[in-house]
Amino acid sequence: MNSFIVSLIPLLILLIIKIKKAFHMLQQNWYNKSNRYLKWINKNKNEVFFNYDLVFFLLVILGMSIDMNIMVYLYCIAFSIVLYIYLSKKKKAKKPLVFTARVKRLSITLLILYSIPCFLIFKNFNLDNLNLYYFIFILLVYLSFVIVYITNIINKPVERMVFLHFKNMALKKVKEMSSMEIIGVTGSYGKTSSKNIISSILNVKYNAFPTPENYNTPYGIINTLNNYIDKFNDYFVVEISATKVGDIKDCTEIVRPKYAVITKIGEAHLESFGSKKAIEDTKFEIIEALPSDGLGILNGDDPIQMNHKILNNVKIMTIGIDNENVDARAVNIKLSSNGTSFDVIFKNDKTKYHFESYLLGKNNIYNLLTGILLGKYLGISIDQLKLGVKNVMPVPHRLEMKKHGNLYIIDDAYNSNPEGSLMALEVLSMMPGKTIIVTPGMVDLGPLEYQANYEFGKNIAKNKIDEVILVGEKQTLPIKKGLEDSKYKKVHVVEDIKDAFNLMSSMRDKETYVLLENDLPDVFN
Amino acid sequence: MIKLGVIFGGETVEHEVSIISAVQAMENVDEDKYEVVPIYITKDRVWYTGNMLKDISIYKDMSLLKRYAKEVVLYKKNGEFVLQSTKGFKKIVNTIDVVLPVVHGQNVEDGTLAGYFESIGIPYAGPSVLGASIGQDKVTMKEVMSVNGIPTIPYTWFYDIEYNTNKDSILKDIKKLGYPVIVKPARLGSSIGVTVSKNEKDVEEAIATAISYDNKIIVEKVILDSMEINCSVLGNYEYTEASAIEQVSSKTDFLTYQEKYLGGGKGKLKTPSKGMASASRIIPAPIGDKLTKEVQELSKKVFKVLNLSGVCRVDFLLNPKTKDIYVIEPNTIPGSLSFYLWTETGKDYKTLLDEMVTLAIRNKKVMDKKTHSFESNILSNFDGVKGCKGKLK
Repeated sequence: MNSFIVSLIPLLILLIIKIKKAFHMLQQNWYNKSNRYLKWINKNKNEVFFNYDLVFFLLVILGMSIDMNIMVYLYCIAFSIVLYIYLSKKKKAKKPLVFTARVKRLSITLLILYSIPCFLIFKNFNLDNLNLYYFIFILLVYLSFVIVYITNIINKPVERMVFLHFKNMALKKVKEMSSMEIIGVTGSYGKTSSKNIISSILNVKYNAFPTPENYNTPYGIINTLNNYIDKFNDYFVVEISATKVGDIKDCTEIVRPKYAVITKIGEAHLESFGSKKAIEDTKFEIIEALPSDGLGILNGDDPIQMNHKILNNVKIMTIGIDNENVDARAVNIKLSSNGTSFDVIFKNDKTKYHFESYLLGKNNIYNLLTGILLGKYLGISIDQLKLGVKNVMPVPHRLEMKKHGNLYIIDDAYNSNPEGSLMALEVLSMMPGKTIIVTPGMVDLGPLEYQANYEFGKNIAKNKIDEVILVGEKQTLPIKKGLEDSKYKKVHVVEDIKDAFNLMSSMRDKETYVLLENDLPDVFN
Repeated sequence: MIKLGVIFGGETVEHEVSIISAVQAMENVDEDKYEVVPIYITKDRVWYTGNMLKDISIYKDMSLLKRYAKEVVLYKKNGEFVLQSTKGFKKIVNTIDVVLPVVHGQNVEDGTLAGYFESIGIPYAGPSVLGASIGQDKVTMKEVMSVNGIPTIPYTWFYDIEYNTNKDSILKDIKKLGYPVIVKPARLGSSIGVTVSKNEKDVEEAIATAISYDNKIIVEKVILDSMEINCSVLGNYEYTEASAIEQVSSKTDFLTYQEKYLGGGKGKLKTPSKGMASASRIIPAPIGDKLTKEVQELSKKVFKVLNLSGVCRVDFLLNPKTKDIYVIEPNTIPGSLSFYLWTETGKDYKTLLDEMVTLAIRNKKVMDKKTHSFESNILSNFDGVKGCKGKLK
């Protein structure tokens, strides 16, 4: 009996690890909203079903013919070895499991579920059935991902109640804070930075508050209202995500925006929307839900937004860089070691107002323009807006400029998509001085990876970047090919980022700008 | 709804002025956004609250006021700022979220009240402890302004005790300034105890008057052929804006207390609700765009170097011929909160008050982000306490 229990200890630890992983995946997949958790299981069949646990079943078969006194040791050894493999393979997650109240509630249900067989076994314990007991325990461990799924289903009514409780709490708060106005931000991408920039600019005069991090679901909005918003907040800047038809309505039921901003309409979540038209229509729901005294701000450079037929007659204002016929247009955009400077022309106003910002990149100029236009509309003076724009700080590793010795480093290490890389190249090429790019190329793009990197190489040549340092010979081959096909010569290949650093120091000129593009280790901090 | 505590009164010579300013302000608060909670400090420093305090007529009869208004203390309890009755069952009478101090003069406007708000951590509109206390002392304020290159009127100062023991040398210093001079108590406002002296004979009497109000006396040179102009500034250390400029005209040599607040009638509150707005004035002051701009910039500078916040009014003397400008003094919480200057700038009183409260909250939020104390208790590892029953070794 004792050795039986001791032999189960490694299995128990294994179970905890697996359940933690299952909870983690459940949480990352929005607690199986739209069956995302099941889809994840389907995608990761190898990890969930065809794993080392299968070895245990062989032992069960073996146990039918071998003496149990020996089997106990065999089981224990097998459990320990598999546990060791699990532990050694464990990777540090980018976004770890958060032990929210919901996860705790799930844990309780799960504990009850697991206790039932344990209770039955130990109540009617019989040494003759040892192998059967092993089989049951092994099965419970093996099926942990499925059992977590079942737990989630069992807890659903409870979660619904909890959700409604928090929702009512949030609704009550919104009702009480009648003077707080809501600004909704949606779009296919760039919502988070847009939201933060708008909030930051409004904060030169008001007490605006954005939904934290990338909270953008009804749950996130409710959470922010209940835990972050205080009675002094006069503007609540809400990021609203729309991954399928109806998402926006779910959010506007909780907070009804008076002002709405659409960043850019792209093809993100095309799969769940069904068509591009559906994406477009859904994003515009936010505009169409505005009250008659509201205001919608659109990007005048986005033809999809400009050509959309809006179903209500709410006031619309536009921002833009290329489009001349907008309410706030940025011209004379100049980049330097101090960041970006530009002039803003407002419709029906001949004066050009000069703004300076530490932010880089075209998308950020759009975001700043939105903040400026909205701020002006809400009664902030131009002088104060200038201060507000100057106060907006870049997000670390996202086109963030920092001085490093005699070099100006533009850190864009968190970017991993082709559009972002192109924008970074544009920024670098506009810098007044020698330009160097350091990149290991883009990864994790699936079948598009080779082509995307090849195009990236061609674009580096097109933007006339002075020097290129490729990190990792093998993985940067497609970029090199793109550069060679454009007859670009100044390519240097190094194996390690440290070598790249020495190299660029030796290449530096009076004023040198180095773009660190794509996933590079944090060596400059 | 945000609960806005409007606090006023206090043991100060400007007690009544403060009541007038506060009642005026309470009448103009945006009632859709704020719920006004009046907090009145009597001359004997007792705090009262109650809705009847919004009405000016209650102040005619103090015994009535003391009977019906609730005597309270303000402190922090369970994360809220509560007004608790000091009598009977000591009930919590009301709570407030943010304070708008409309107080004038010593014991309140000089940073003492701001200090109390800082200590309990409630956001408040108006100057910080430092700004308010510098602004209350006409000598220190001049010293700070001079260092920052702001033109001030030539002056000399002394304590009453020095005057009693060393009169001759002080009179000599005053003579050096050149008559006529203005004698002022250094830490009073609203022209109280202020006298102009044309010669040495008058000055002794003027000093005697000033000494009856304060133990620190300042004597300033009179700037001849000058006019008094005022400009209000709104903002905080990050951003400031200046209002329209007024020219204050005066029948006598300078604006007396009666002229400023009482509208001429001897001691009676003839036009109480007008307060400071009733002094004879020209807005905007006819001094031309260039000078206007210059005065506005100077006002903002004064606001910044004196660490002010909220709304203030800077008083100047301007010689229209030579275009010489002198800063007389800033009023860190000006009478009537200078709303009449802002109306002229396109900001109605309601908006002005709203912006002041918003600034108060922003200031608090900015400060809260900076580290003020450590989460852990440093004394928790203090060995002396262990095993000695609470006594320090």
